[in-house]
Amino acid sequence: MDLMATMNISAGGMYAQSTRARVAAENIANADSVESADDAGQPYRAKQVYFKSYMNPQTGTTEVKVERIAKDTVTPLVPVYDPANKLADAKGFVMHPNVDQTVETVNMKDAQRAYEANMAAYTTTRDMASRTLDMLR
Amino acid sequence: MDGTVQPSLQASLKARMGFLIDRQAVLAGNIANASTPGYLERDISFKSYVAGAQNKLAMAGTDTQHKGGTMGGAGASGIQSARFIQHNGNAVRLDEQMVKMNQTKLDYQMMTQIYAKHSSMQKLALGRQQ
Repeated sequence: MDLMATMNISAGGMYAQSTRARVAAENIANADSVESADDAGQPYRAKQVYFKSYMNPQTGTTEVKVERIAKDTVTPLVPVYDPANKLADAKGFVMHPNVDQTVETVNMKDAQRAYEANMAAYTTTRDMASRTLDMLR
Repeated sequence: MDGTVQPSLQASLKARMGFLIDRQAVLAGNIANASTPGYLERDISFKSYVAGAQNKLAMAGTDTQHKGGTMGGAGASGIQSARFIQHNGNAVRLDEQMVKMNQTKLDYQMMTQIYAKHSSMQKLALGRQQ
């Protein structure tokens, strides 16, 4: 383990958290997408990021990685009464995405906080590395 | 001052700084995993680090392409704590990690300053002014 490996851990943490923020932004942007291209005309489904800790075999450190980004198929879609819409079913309902604005906002905020924490860790490690270089003076 | 004092100071500084660098990596790993479900925070103690360094085993290389490595180091003596567990099974408290990280940084700065002080004293003894 050295300080450079430690900086890599923090950088990996920042990458993971920014992926989470990106997915939250995608969900918020698609909160009203009643049709999605990748789901053959079905409403957009909220996506969720799964983190996993893993041991880097080269350095022996515990890092984080984005294991997968999966669609939320558990939370039901939201039916909205809109009989004039051409996508409405026989009863006049249009299915809207299962994006929960509150959850996404909290996700975004939490990702931001965790990103800042990783940034602080990175800064601390960098300070330690520069102290090490100062020993040469 | 006898001759045994100086090498032991160097050795102590080396051990302490090695420990602080390893601990920094462990704490950075905790912070990186602050939202990983089921992750329990880890920490290492100086005692286990020193004991681990003495018991470190070099890995045998049977091929020229094998990378050298050691076993039984700081990673093996990690402490997993499960206080303050969250609903997703994660037990990392960012504030606590920040405090530990700052302690590590200040400790490290103290070590580098002791080193600088020590080498300036040696220079003084050699008659060279700073």
